[in-house]
Amino acid sequence: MSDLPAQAPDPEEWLPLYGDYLYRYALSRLRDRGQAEDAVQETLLSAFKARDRYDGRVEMKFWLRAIMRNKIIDVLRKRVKDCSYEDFQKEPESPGFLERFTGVLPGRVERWTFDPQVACERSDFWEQFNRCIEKVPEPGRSLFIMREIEEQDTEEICKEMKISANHLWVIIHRVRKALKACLNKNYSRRPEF
Amino acid sequence: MWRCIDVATALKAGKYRDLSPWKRFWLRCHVVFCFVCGKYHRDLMKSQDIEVKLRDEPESCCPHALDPEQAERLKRRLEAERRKSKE
Repeated sequence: MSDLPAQAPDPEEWLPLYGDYLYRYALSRLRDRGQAEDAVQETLLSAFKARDRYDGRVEMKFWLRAIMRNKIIDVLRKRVKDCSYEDFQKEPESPGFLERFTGVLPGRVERWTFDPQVACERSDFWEQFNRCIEKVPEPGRSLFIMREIEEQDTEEICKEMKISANHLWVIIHRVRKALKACLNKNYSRRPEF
Repeated sequence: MWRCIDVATALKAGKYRDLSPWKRFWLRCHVVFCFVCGKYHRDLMKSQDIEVKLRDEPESCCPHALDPEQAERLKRRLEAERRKSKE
């Protein structure tokens, strides 16, 4: 017997209906097949236990995704906490004049060799992106996903990781730079623009 | 008129595509013409284009679906857990 609204699929159907979607979502954040599989399992189990709280106002897929998001953030948080990199613990220099008044971090801005807005509609771009993000070292990668993709609150991340907002911003800036350098170097297709 | 620091604050707080059309207009005006921060912030906006796609459409950014073996393993594990919780 199900405690779900009439239009909601039966829990037995969740895996065939949403398994791929949830797995892709988890894998795009965690970059680890085993952990992504575990996240799908934990999500479906938590959802099963909390099924009487599903009121049908959002599509089931998004309800499950919201549950999974919390699980993913827990995994990412743990990864960051497990890091003891000197780079991570070393506070960057306090912002200079230019940074304080314009928000511009020091360093040369390399140009993109392709248009990201056009490229991100192509599957070959994402294959390369996935290869590039896997090369980004921790804790930068997890912090980047937590803040820029999952949009966790900056204050919350900083409080928990015991770093300043400026420090977090510098880490994210370095990740973006590394991703861009890797994509510029390896993503060979140059769309026509 | 937006200042460089207003653009920086907005882009730190979130994605430029999530801003209201009016705010987005002022932000774009600033980064097109500003010789101090324009290049840096235009570059950041391009990175954000990729990030927004990854945030909103994870299924199209990740080519790997569950393989049959994984799906079967998950099915068994879920059934076992469900049985346990019913007992």
